[in-house]
This record gives sequence, C-alpha cells and structure tokens, in this order.
Amino acid sequence: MSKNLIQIKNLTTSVGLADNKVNIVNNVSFDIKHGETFVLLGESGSGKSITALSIMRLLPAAVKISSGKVILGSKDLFELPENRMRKVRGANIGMIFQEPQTSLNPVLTAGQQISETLRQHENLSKNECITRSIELLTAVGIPEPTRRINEYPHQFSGGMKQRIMIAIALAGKPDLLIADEPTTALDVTIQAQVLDLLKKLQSETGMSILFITHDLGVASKMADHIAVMKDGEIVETKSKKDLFRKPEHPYTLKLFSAIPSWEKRVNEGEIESTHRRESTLLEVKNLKVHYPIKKGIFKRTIGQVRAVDDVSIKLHEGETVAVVGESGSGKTTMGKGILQLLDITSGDVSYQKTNLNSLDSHSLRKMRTDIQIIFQDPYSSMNPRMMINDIIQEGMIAQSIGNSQKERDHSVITLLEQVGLDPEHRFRYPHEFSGGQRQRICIARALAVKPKLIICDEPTSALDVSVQAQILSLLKDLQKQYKLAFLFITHNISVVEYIAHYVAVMYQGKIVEQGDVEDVLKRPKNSYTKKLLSAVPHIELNIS
Amino acid sequence: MTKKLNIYFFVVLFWLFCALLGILNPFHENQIVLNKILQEPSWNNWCGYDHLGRSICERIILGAKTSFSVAIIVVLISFIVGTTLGVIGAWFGGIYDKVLVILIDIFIAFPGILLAIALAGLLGPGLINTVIALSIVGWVGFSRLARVQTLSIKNRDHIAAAQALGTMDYRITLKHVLPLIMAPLIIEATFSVAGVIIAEAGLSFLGLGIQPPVASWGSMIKDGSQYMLVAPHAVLIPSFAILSLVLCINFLGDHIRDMLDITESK
Repeated sequence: MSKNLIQIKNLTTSVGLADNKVNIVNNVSFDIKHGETFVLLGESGSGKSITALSIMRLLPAAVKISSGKVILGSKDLFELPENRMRKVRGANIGMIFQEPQTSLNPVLTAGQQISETLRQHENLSKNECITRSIELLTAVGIPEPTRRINEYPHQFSGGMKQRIMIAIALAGKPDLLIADEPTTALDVTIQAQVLDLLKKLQSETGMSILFITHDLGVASKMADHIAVMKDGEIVETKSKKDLFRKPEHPYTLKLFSAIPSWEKRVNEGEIESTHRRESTLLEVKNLKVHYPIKKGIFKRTIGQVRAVDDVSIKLHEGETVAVVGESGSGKTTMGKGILQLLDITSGDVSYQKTNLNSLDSHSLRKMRTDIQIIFQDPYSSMNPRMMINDIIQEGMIAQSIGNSQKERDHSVITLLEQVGLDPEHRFRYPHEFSGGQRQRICIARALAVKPKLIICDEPTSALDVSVQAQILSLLKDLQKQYKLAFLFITHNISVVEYIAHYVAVMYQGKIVEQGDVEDVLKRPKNSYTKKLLSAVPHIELNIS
Repeated sequence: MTKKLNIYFFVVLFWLFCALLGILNPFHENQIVLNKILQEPSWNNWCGYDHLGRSICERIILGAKTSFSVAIIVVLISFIVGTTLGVIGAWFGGIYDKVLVILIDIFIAFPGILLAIALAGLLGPGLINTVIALSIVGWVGFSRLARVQTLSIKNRDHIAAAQALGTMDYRITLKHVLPLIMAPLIIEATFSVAGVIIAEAGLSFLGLGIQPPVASWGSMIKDGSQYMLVAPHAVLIPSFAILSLVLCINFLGDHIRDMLDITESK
C-alpha cells in the first residue's frame, strides 16, 4: 500500500526547436503508490494530458521529452527501446481518454477491440479471448455481455462506450490506469456511475489510478493525493484532506474561491429574500416541439420525437430562472423555441402579453430587441470573418438603433467597457481573443439592442472554472444594473446554486420539478431531481 | 512549396500575358504565306507554319486569348448563377431546395461535355454560343458545392444569433454565409477554368466551337491532325499549349486549396 508504484522525476516536455523551445511540462515530479488514486488537477492548457502522454511515450511528433525519468518498478521507461515500451503499454499502464466516441474503432465490435489487447499481452486462444472479454464486460457493468460483445460502438451509449474503454484498458491487467478526463464528456448521473465503477475496480484489482481532471468535485470524490498544475508546473501536491483543508498556494486558493456555490453566494452578501417575483415578463404555456420520425420510401410519419413536451414556465423582470437537465433533455430546444428560432408544434409563448408565435415576421423582428441569446461555444457563436466592431453593431443595424455611424461606434466603445474589454481592440477578429473574452463579446452583442431577457444557453460550460467565475459575476452585475432577466440553461448544479432564483428541472422534454432555488436544491421532491442532485460530486471544502 | 508554386504560377502568368498580347493584336495571324506551308520550326520561326502557311506562333498567342476569354466568362457566369441558386436553395429550404436538387440531379446525370456538344449543336457554332453552352453545363458544380456548404454552416450559432437580433435574410446570407463558403468555391473556380479550357478546345476540335478563321487551340489541332505524319508540329504545339496551361492551373488550384486549408486550421 505504501510502496511507490511509479516515480516521475523532473519531467520536462517541450515543443519547438532548440532556439525557441517552450516547456509545456516543466520539472514535474510526483510518486504514485500502490492502490492509490493520484489526481492531476488543472485548467485547460496546464499540461496535465501532456504529462500523462509523456509517461506513456505517446506524445505527438512535435512534442519532445527533454529531460526527466519515469521509474516503474526498476526500469526507467524513457530508456526502454520502443518494442519493450510497447509491452509496458497495456500490460503495466493502461489508459482511457476523454472522448469515448472517437477512442473506439467504429468498424470493430466491442469484443474484437477487447480481444486485440488480450492477444497482445496474453497467449490466449480465440475462445479464451471471448470468455475473457465477456468477463471484462461483466466487470465494467455492461448488461447482457454475451449478446452485446458482438455489437458495434454506435450501438452503445456514451457511458457504455466509456465502460468498454475501461474494459479494454483493464484487459492487460495494468498496475496503473491513466484516466484522462474520463467523465468530462458524460452527463452527471453517468459520470457518477463511471466514477463508482473505477473505484470498485480499483478495490478489486488493487491498481493505481492517475486521474486527470479539471473538475474539483470529481477530484475530491476520487483522490487520495492531488497535484495542482498550472502552466506546466505542479504548484502544490498534498493529500486530499490537507489540500481541501488548508490550501497554501495562491493559485489553489484562487481555484477554490472560483467555484460557484451556495456559500459563495451568501458570502457575497446576496440574501435571496431581496428578490421579489412581480411583473411577469415571459410566460410559456404548454410549449411543445415535436419532430416527426419518417420512414420508408413514402416518408410516412411513424412517430414523434418529443424534444420539448408540454412545458410551462414563467419569468419575471430581473430574475434568473435556471433550466437544469442532462444532454438531450430539451433545454436548448426550449430556449430556441421561445426565441422563435425554430417552429414550435403547439403552445404559447407570450412576452409581456404579446403572443410571439402568432406574430408576423415584421413585428417579430421588432420584438427581437427584447429577447436575446448567448451560446455555449464561444468559437462558433461569432462569424470568424467579421470584426468585433461589426459583430456588436450587427443588432443595432438590424434594429435601426443609433442614428449615425458615429453614434453606433460610440455605443460599441461603451458596451466593450461594460463587459470588461479594452475598446481599443474593437477592430480585431474573434480568433484573437480567448474563450472568456469571446463570451464577453457575445454578451456585448446581446446587450447592444437593450434586451430585457437574455437566454443563456450553457454560457460557461466551455470555460475554465476561474473564467466561469468572472463571466458569472459579470452577468450578475449586468442583471442588477439593467434589471435583466436570465433564462439560464445549464447542466451544472453549482452554477445554479450560485446564480439562480428559480429552477426548473427538465428530463426527457418535460419539466419534472420547478420552484424556488432553495426549495428544489435542498428539498427536492421528484425522484429524478433527487437522483441528479445526488450524482453531483460534492466538494468537502472546510476552509476556515 | 513556394518554389513550385512559382513555376506553376509563372506558366499560367505567361499564358495570361499571351492572352493580353492577343487582345492588343499586333499580328497578321491570318496572313497566308504560300511558300511556307507546313514548314517545320526553325530559328527564324520557333513554331513553324500550318497547312495554309499561317504562323503557328501568332495563332497560339491568339488562341490563348480565345481560351482565356471563354474560360473566364463561363466561370464567372457559372460562379454567380450557381452560387446564388445554391445559397438560396439551402437557406430557404422547402420547395426552393427540392426544385434545385432535382435540377442539379438532371444536369449531373448527363455527361457534361456531351450535353455541351448537344447544346452547341442546337445553338449553332460561334463564340457566344460556346459560352452559353458551357455556362449551362458549368453552373451545376458551383450550385451543388454552395448548397452543401451553406447547409453545413446554416446551423452555426452566429447565424442563430444574427436571426435573434432580427437581421434580415439577405444580410445574413451576404455577411454570414457567403464569406464563410467562399474558400471552397474559389478552389472550384480554379479547377473550373481548367475544365472549361479543355471543353472549349474539345468543342472547337469538333467544329462546334470557335469558327475559322478565329484562332483557337482546339481548331488548330483539328486542322493539324490531317497532316499529322508529315508535319507533327502543327498538332504537337497547340497540344502542348493546352497541356501546360491546364496542368499548371490544376496544380495552382491544389496549392490554393492547401494554402486556404492552413489558414482555416490556424
């Protein structure tokens, strides 16, 4: 239990040639003991994955290990010839990746992909391979493994695919499993299942896990030891208890303080009774968006996909209503349905007593100033061939706001200052900005037409936790200043705790529970809400 | 890579220069010199003379003018018509799209050059009719490409954002759709220029394109082919002109594609 399984000593990995070398991983050292889970925690670009790939010697061609040692047992992995390294991969170190969709070969069955690893490392006959594969699939919790062994990746769900990936990684009975963000692409309830599975397998086999994540909640659930990475360096390595009790490095403290939570909200002095629900802004009644399923040569409709099914919700001036749900629950479709960006099947969307779905296109165009939208992906939400100045002015031109070019230019400057960007940068293109900055630009674009309601469709999901904190506080400030209402679509419960006044939980196109944020999150009534909330990995933060 | 690009680029540039020279026209390309009929290339005249005793060199230069003017006009017309129809079909969907797809399918079902021959036969030979026949065949490629490109970016968030802001359809297509689908269309246009040059030469070779006495590379090959055994230069020289130009335009198109790819991935 206490002996070191693997030691990483002064690992430095760099990109570029000798004269302008950049170290992506800089002098990183850590040890992993037998049977423990070691978590590498860090934001995007901190060098977590490159560290893992360096250990496996699977780096992309442009990246080179410049110095350091990786000692597994008595061997230094960096000194092994390639053919012996190949034996180490799989037999000693297994690896699973973030995206199960692309990590599996779509034209091979689950059984074939597991057998491939088995044949590499053990001298098994064909029948023994099949028996072993079925055992492995049973171990990772795939129901009916004898039947499903012959199925192809597309016949499995995302969580199931990740289970198959784990089965493949375990096929060579590795001592160390490297898990590179294995649950980031999964829904929170599936994530909980996969994390539990990893823990169970670990206690059965006694393997060690090197777990890479950006999610503090996941880290706190899985870790024995945690190393916090920033800009290619480990800034702090501690046991889980010590790290969460007394984090020392300023970066760790900053990370912790960036986590949105109920406590943070109370600490910032927001008392929820200050919010009064008056003057209804938007009322959605029995909204349905169904898509027909067509089949056969005559394209007969044989069924309906109920993307949004009989949803009713009310929004008041200056409040934040969060819509929570897992992927495919119909949150985004509902948002676009409210905006009339897609055809709704039935139901009413009324904004300040005006029924939006019965308006003609001209009046609807005028109404669009009042309701705006911010998207999840800050890369595709802006036209890469337009300058920031033009992007922000687009709405003003469409709605004839501002009489002259000069007046509009002036508003752009004010807007950019408001969202915390340098107005000098307004003649730049979107690719010159970071993810967080782009999201600010999108907010400025929405604000340009002076809306009263903004539909925020997962605006912080693609961002690091520290950037997320900045965007959330910006949204809160803007809400106070302009009495804006937000319809906040998210899958992240802690964001809901931090920002929402009212919550609706969506599941398979229906709202299964709605109410004030405290009621729903602290005293959930619906069984799905309970399941969802219990799946969220909790952070045991006890900073005093 | 840049070095190779220069070679292709300069060959194309050379022929473009010839075409411009052809427009200025300081030649007497139709002047017949009887004692030089089918004379082989020599130091005094690098390209020799054809079966009527006309200077092949001068006719090649004027043929470049014909090739380029037909190609550029045809590609321009095809580009504008095809892209407009493709974007409209994909953007508005419904009946527009259905009609467009049926039209494209019908045109693609015919082998392009055969359709052009049939049209040229119907319309009668001549420069204008050649342009019309080739444009009718040419728009389909652009239309199909513009349609699928538009479909693929139609659901991007920035387009939804523009719609949510109340931007008019024509403005969205001009500002958000066209600039983003331009790169593949430009590449298609380069390859199209090469295709049209061959098609024009083919039509002229069959006698359905440019009519004598106007110089065209296709008709020069046709005239020379009757004296292939005694004077191969009358066929080989215009053939080489077509070969070098089409080959280099295609390589140039490949390079433009690679260049645009790099900027996209950056």
